[in-house]
Amino acid sequence: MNYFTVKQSYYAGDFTQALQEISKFDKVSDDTLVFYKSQSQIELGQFEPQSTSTPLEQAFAAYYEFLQTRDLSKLSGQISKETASPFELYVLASGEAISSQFEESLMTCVQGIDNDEIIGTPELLLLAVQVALLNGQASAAQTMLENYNAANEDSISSDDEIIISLAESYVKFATNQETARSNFYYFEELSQTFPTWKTQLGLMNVHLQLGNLPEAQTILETLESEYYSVEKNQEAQQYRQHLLVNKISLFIAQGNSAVDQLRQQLAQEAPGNSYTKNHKEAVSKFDGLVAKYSS
Amino acid sequence: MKMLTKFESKSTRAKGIAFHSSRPWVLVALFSSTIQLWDYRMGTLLHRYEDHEGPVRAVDFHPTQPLFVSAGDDYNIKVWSLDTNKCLYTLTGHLDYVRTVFFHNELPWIISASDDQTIRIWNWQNRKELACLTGHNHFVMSAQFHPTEDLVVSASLDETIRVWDISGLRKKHSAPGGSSLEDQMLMQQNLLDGGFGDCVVKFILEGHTRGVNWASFHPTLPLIVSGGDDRQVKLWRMSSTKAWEVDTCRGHTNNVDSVIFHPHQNLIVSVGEDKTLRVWDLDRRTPVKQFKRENDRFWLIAAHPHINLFGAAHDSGIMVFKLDRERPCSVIHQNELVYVNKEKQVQTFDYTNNVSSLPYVSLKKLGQAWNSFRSISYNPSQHSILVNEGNDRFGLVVLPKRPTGAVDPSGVMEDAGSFATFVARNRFVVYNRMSESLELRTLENSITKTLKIEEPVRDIVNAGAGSVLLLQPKQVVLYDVQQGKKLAEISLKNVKYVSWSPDGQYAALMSKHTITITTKKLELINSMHETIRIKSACWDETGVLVYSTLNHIRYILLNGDSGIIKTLENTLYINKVKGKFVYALDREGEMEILTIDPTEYRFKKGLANKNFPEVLRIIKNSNLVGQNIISYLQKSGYPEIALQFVQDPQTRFDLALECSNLDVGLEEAKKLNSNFVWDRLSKEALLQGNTSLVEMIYQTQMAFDKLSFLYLLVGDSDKLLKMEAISQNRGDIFDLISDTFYNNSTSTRARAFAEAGSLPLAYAVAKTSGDESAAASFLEQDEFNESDVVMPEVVNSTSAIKSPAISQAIEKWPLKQAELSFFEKAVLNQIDDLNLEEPVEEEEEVEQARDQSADVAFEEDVVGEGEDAWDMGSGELDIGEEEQTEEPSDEITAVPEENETSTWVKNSKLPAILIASGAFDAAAQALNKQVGIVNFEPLRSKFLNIYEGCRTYLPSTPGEVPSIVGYIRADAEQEDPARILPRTPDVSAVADKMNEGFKFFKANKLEPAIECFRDAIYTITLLAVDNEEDEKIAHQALQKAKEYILGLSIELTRRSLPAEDVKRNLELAAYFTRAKLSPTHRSNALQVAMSQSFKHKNFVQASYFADEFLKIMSSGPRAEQAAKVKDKADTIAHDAVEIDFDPYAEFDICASSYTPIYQGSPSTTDPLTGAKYHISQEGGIDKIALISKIGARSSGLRILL
Repeated sequence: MNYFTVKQSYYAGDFTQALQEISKFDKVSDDTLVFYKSQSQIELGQFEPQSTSTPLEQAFAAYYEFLQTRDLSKLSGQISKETASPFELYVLASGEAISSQFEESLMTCVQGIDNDEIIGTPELLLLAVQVALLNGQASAAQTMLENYNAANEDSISSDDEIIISLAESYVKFATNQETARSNFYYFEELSQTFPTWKTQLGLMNVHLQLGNLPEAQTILETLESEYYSVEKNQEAQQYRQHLLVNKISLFIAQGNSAVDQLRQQLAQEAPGNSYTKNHKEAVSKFDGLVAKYSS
Repeated sequence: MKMLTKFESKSTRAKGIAFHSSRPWVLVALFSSTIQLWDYRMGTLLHRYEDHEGPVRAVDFHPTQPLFVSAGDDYNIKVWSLDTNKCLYTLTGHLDYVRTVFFHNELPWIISASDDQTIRIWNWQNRKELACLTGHNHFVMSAQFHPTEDLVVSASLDETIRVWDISGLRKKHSAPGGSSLEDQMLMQQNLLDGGFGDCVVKFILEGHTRGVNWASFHPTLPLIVSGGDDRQVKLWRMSSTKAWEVDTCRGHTNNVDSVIFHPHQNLIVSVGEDKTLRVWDLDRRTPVKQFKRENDRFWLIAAHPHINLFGAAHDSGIMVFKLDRERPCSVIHQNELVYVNKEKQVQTFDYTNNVSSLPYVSLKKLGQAWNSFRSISYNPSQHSILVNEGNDRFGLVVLPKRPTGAVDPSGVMEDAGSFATFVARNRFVVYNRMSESLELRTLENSITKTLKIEEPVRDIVNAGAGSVLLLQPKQVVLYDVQQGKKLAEISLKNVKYVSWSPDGQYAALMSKHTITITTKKLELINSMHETIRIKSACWDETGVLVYSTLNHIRYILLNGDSGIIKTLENTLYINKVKGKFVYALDREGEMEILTIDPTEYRFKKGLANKNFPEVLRIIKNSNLVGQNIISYLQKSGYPEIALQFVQDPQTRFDLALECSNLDVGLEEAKKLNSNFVWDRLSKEALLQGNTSLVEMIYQTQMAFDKLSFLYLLVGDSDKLLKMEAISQNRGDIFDLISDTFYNNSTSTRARAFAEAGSLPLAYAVAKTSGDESAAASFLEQDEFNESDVVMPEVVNSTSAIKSPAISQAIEKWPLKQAELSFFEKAVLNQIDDLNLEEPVEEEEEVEQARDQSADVAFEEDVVGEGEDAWDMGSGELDIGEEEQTEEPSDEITAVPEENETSTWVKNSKLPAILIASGAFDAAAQALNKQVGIVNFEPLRSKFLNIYEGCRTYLPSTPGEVPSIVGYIRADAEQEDPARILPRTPDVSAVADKMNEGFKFFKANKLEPAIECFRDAIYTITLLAVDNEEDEKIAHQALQKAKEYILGLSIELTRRSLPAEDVKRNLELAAYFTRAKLSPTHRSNALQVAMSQSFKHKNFVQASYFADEFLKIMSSGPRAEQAAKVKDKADTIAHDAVEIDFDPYAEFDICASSYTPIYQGSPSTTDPLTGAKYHISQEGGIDKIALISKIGARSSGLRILL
């Protein structure tokens, strides 16, 4: 089955389109479709648990519940690391990563990648790479990617290539490889072909890495335009916090004094954002410093 | 190598051909006795010259004059005028067929070769034969002058080639006074002697084994090439004393009839009766290429004197062609053009700075030596290019990172395949002609996908990520390579080139003579035909297609409007249009930047898009308005716009009617005041139902009949009655009768008929209207009977006329009021925010921005009069500062994470880097040790911004997973791990803050100024610079900031003093002058001190400050005031208040107590700012920056990486 267009839309962050593409397969249902459908619905805040359901659908239902409660126990109780399919493991590993249990999450991913079942392993690899990066194991992320590429050199289909490319770009982004070259063009190409919140933010990040402030500013303005903030409201809700984070980086670079205001806004709108967490840590570290020298 | 045919003519056998040096003309000598003149660019026959009897064998244009010469089998040489197209005269003398004729490059000479075994030289001005060169003992088949030297080369069927020295001839004929009797006799003698002495045989070249048909000189080298019936092409070299055979090119299978050197390349081109044209490598004498005609023997080959064109005469006409393409390959990437120059070197051109780079690589060794490349495709990700070598092979060349010169490329991968084009950062497509398929390949050249294409493909053009345009003989196809399917197609023949609009929405598809504009889905928008060949096209930023033909730059809008922008002298290949600049590569592979006037097409485009403010702006700000534009506006349906810009009453009137503007029409009609104009206006007014205007016009014109009819129409019975009365008064019987009909005044009508002498009619009217008495009276008046008048059978007098249904006459037909058009409003100033100023050219802004950023230093050192002065009169400080330029600040800083941040820390332990890495504690420790910082709170935002400024967060997949952190490096492209560092603020951030401080200073806002200078100190404290110059600038800035904070704090304290504290006031004013401010700013301090001293009668001090002031500023009103103060003070020379200030002593000022620290007094220093304090202040917090401990032990601030 060719899921090229589904994956293309999903990974470009056009979830509405992804759902439309999935609906074209109306007579068919398999785990891949369930996976992308559920993920897209969650991203859009439209997920509804199915009554009659496959194990994967059940896993998603539990995952959805976890997202509301942030209680991982039910999810991890429901999915067995030994027997679950790669897609189910993906769901579990996501939950673990969201709960900052990066080691466990990585283990879960690896379990799935080594699975005999092939469907879903590229997706798991993508997650594993991200979790490794979050856990500060950039070289592990790189190695996983290389191993996967080496093992599947000839068999990577063009739709899986989308996933592998994204994983590669995450590694390059986190490790500053090819920032001005292939990674930049990866995001640029993507944002031109599929201008979505996700791809635009990707390009903005790379522009920030490159110090291309006017270009980053342009993207900021684009994303704050009516088209993105109103017409693409569903995606906007998901991604606005990320834009705020990038805006802070941009403002600092521009010497704009409104940075503190943005930090406050972000803390209010998305207290759980990674940036806010990091910021809080930095502030408390600095507080300690002031106290230490003034005593 | 390719033969690109540009023109072919069909005729009988052509024996001779010649190119005009400047016009696109070619002369053809035909065996049929005709000479043809063709425009090979347009493909039209311009003229036929028929005066020769029998075959014409040779023709030649004069290099500069409008002349040409011809010769043939009638033994005659004819000189023709191109102005009159007539034969001017005939040179006779030869005794047999004349084989060739040529003009001399500079002298007024013609050389001819004949079967009479002679070569003759003629003067075409005096029409005399100058010399007859004898020696050959068979037909002389060709003879030519050397292009620069006094030599002639001739070829003969006697199997020899002869080189003649004709310097004697030149000497004789260019010597002044050479026409004495003696000379003339000598000349006669010469002729008889066969020019003996003037023209001597220098070399006889023997080697051909059969007759020699042709011999030519090399344009610059001492070489001769010849061809003969022995089917050989021979190369000869000569020195000043001898000549010898170098080599032979064998290959022709029949007589070689003509052979020449390529004018610019090391090639020989020969033609022969074996129906081939062959190209040989001059250096190796090896065949390079051959072209064959099926049925035609070639007779002659000629090269254009300047451009890369050749002409060949053959059995059925001629062909004009060029050898190999001259279009330099290029591809645009963002703001750069990547191109291959004439030397096959890859260069880039930067459109921002308008500079070409050094070559990146030389591709000389790629492909075949004489083949020019067909196209290139660029991959920015790999920094590589795909070169289509033009022979169904391609090369992938990885370019070095930086251009260092024409080196051989290090990474080259060559393979078979055509039209290699990148489709993604890691994929390219190649067309495989054999299998007629498209192959998708990785950068390692492994094929990942093969897609069969139905029709043959002529070229491939990138069409955005993942898709390409396939140019096929009869169509263009948009093809998605990733999905392997056709997305769209359009039927178009022979499309050769494509230009995409910058936003990718439109494509211009070019064939030889047609440009077709389509959408990105290949939907046709419009198409236009050009008679001249289209060479290139490019979209400007606003979506106008600018294209070049062989001799013009033209434009076409999406709506099909087109026009000429500029005439070209040389063919150019446009690659970018930016504002009024057109960037184009010439055939030498060099960039030319042409300036064009885009006004016309912008205007038309504005109009087409209804962008009226733009249109109006152009009209106001350009000198575009002329008859052409007015008629264009009119044609385009905008007469009301045209109306705004015309003065001529007639034109205005015409335009007004066209846009139904009666007011303007009336205004202009009054000026013109002709019946014709009034008629037209009244018709228009009538159409619009403006009856009062119609009435007015009819009144003016005294058009009574029309007026009456108008009143009838509008139902104005009162006025109709008046009209009747008027008609009666005027005695106009016809009008009167009409009026009586309109008014139904039967009695008046009857009377009118009667008065006019038509009593029977009068009777009939009266009778039918029932006025029996009147009828009877008419009967009485004349001699006719009732029976003479035949009355209608049925007469209903009452129902024939109806009275108007409306009680009041219509004055104006109710029409909906038209809204004013944008233009009318604009002209009437009814648009509020209309800005008609020319927008500043973006380019200039960019230019300026660059200038500013290049100059990091701050600019407080300019001494100037005027606005810089404090206004002493109002008692306010108005400290002057030159307008500061804003520096863009692009600083950022960083923090910790495992690999990246540890690398940073490994590479530098500067506080800024430690902060960026997140090692706040270590940074604080370093700062404490270096400059005694103990109060960190003021540095809070600096710390956080440095830390967070070098991080950025990429959303994960799925979105709920925490974001991935990316690090921002100082140099994103740095690959040396030992030099990887985070991005932190650079010295420009310091300059920004300083300049901001100066601005506040100037505005007399001293507190915010101090804040800025403090911020500058904080920035410097946490700076990391990579060069000593920046370090020096930073340290200087720190000192400067300290001085300003000190000075301004003193002045602030002074201002807060109670008025009665005169002594302290004067002291602080004096100390303020000791702060090391820039001279401009210090002049303000001096002025304060001077004024205060003078005011409080400290004249000696006042004089001193005035003197100091005058040292800085010697002219202007402030200087005059100071001079006056000084004069006055000097006359008094007395101080009323004794203060603690010795102007001539060296002292520092304590930054805490603002009192002098004279030399020798115990003092202490702040480790960060270097501010001086009385020793009693030691251990306290520095008052300048508020962060460091006075007198703390320190190692000094380190900011250099």
